[in-house]
Amino acid sequence: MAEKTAEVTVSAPAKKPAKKPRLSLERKKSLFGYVFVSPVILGLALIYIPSLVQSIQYSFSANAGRYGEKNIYVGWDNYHDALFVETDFLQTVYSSTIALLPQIFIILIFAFFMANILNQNFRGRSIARVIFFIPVVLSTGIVTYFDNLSSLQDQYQSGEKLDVGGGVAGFNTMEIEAMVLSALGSSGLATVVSGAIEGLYTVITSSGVQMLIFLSGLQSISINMYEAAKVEGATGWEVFWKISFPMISPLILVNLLYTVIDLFTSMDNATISFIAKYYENVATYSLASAFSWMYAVLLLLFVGVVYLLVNKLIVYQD
Amino acid sequence: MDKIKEFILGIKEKLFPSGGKKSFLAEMRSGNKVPREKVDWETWKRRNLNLNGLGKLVWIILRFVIIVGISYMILYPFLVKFVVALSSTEDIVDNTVMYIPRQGSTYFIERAMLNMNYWTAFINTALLSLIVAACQLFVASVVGYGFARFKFKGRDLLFVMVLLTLMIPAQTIQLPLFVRFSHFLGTDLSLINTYWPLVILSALGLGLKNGLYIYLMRQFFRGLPKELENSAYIDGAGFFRTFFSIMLPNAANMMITVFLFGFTWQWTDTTYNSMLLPKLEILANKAANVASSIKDEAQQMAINDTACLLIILPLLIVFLFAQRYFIQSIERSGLVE
Repeated sequence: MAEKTAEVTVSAPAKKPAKKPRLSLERKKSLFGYVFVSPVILGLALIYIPSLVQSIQYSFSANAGRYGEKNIYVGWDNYHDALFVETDFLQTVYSSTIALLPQIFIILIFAFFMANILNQNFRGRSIARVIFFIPVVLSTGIVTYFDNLSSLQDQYQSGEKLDVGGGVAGFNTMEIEAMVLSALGSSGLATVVSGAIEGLYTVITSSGVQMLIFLSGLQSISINMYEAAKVEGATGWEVFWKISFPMISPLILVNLLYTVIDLFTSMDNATISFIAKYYENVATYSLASAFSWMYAVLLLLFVGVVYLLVNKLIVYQD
Repeated sequence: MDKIKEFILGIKEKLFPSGGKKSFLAEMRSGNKVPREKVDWETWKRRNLNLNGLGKLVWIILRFVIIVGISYMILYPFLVKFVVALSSTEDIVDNTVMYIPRQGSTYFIERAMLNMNYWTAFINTALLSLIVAACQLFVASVVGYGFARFKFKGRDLLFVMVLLTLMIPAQTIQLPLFVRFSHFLGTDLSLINTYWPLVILSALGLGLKNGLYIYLMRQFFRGLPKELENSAYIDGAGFFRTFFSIMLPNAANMMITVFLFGFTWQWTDTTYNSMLLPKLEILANKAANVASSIKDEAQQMAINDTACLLIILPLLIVFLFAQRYFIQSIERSGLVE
C-alpha cells in the first residue's frame, strides 16, 4: 500500500495543475484503480513473470536433475540444437503455419458473413442463434480430442455403413468430389472445392467467438444511421459498405488477432503437439523450453506485424 | 451480505422471469422475439412483386438453405452420438440400421459410465468447474472494471501484459508452473492433483483464457454510460459500493456469459488439467482411456462417442438455460467500443 501511494504522489506533480478538490478525487481514483486490478498484479508478479523467467533459464541450461533443480548454464546450445540438429522443428512450424494461413481468412470471412445473416430479421432467428453458438461452448478441449479420434461418426459419414441399407447418411467426400467434378469438369478444382466442404466443419466450430464479436458489433451500430441512409435512398449494398463495414472494422482487427492466437496456441496445432512431445520426456525438457520460446517469439512477432499492418486500414470513430 | 442475497435473487429472477410458471420452451423464446409489421395484401403486392422483391426472395431462399445446412452440420455429430449411445452391439455393425437402432440397449452408456467412473468424475468436474468459473468471473469483473474506469500509472502496460498471457502458449510456462505447485512456496507440499493450482491461478487472473474474460468485461464496462456511476458518487457512495450495487447488476447478462464460458471451457479443458492435475478423477482426464480396455474396434468407437456425449450433455443443458442471457449480452453489450 505504501509503495502505491508513493508512486501516485510522484506522478501527481507531473500532471497539469488542477483545482485542489478535483486532484484528490483523481488521486483516490488512481489508488483504487490499483486495488481493483490487484489480483492481476499479484498473479503476474508472483506466478506469471517468475515462471517466464524460469522457463527462459531452462532453455539456457542442460538437463541436470529433475526439472531444473540444478541448472547448468550452457549458453545458446539448446537454441543451436533446436535450429540445426532437430530440423523437424522448423519444418513443423513452417508447414503448420502455411496450412493455417488460409484458414485465418476463411474463418474471418465466414464469421463476418454469418454474423450479418444472424443480424437480419427472419422467422426462427432465435433458434438459429442458439444452434450457431453451440460450437462456442462445446468445440474445445476434450471434444476436439474426440473429434480427432476415428469414430463411428466417420463411418456414418464415409457411407461405409450404408452399402446394404441405402439412403444418404451424411456427406461423403468421394461423392462430393464426383459431383463437383461433373459440374465443373476440372479435377484440380474439384479437389479444392470438396476439401473446402470438408474443412467447413472445422471452420464452423472454430469461428464461434468471432461470430459473437462481429454480431455484437453489428448490434451496437445506432439504428439512426440506417434510417438516415434509408431516407437518403441508399441501397442495401451501399449501406453495407458505407455503414456496417466501416463501423465494425475495428472488430476485424480484434477478430483477426483472436483467430491467429486461437489457431496457433490450440492443443491440436501441429507445432504445439510437437513441443508437447519433448516436454513429456525429462531428458529433453530444456530443449522443449527452447522450442517453445522460439515459437512464442515468432508468434508475438507475427501478431505484432499483423497488428501494425491492419491497424492502418481501420476506421476509428474518434 | 444482504446485497449479495439481493444480487443472487436478481439473477434468479432473470433466469426464471415467470417464476417457473411458463414452460421451458416459452421461457427460452420470450427473450428474443422479432417484432413483425402487419400489412394488407395490396400493400404487400405493391412492395414485393417486382424485380427487387424477386431478388429478396432469392436471398431468403439462399439464406434459408445456408442456415439449415450449417445447423445440420453442427447438430449432426450430436445426433450420431446420440444414436450410437442408444445402440446395441449388434446395431453398430448392422448395415441396415441407420438412425433408429433396431434392438437398442444402454450397453454403451453403462460401459462408458463404468470406465469413466462417471458419477464421481462428474461431481468432481462440476465442483471444479464451478469454483474455477466463479473465481474467473469475480476476477474478470473486478479487474475489467479497474481497467475500464480508472486511470493509473502503468495501466496500459498492465493491460498488454494481461493480453500477453493469452498470446504466449501455455506450454511455455508448463514446467515452471508444475515445479511451483509441486513444491508450493518452496516447501515440500505438493498441490499437484488437487483443485488448488487451478483455483489459485484463476483467482489471480491466470486461469484458462482468463485474459479473454478480462477483456470482455473491460469492453462491457467501457460501454456503460459514465452518468451511472457519477450519480452514485454524488450521492456519496464509495468506489466499492458503486461497483457492487450499481455496476455489477447492470452487467448481469455479460457476467452470465463469462461464467458460461469459464464453466464450459474448464469442463472440457485438456491443457491445464493434464498439466497440473493429471491424476484427479475428472471427466477430461478419464476420457482419454475410456475405450482402452475394449478389444473390438467398432465397440471402441462406440464407447468413445458415448463418452463424448456423456461429457458434453450436461454442458448442452446448461447452455440451453443460459443462452437467452448470453444472446442478450451480445445485443446490448458494449463488447464493442
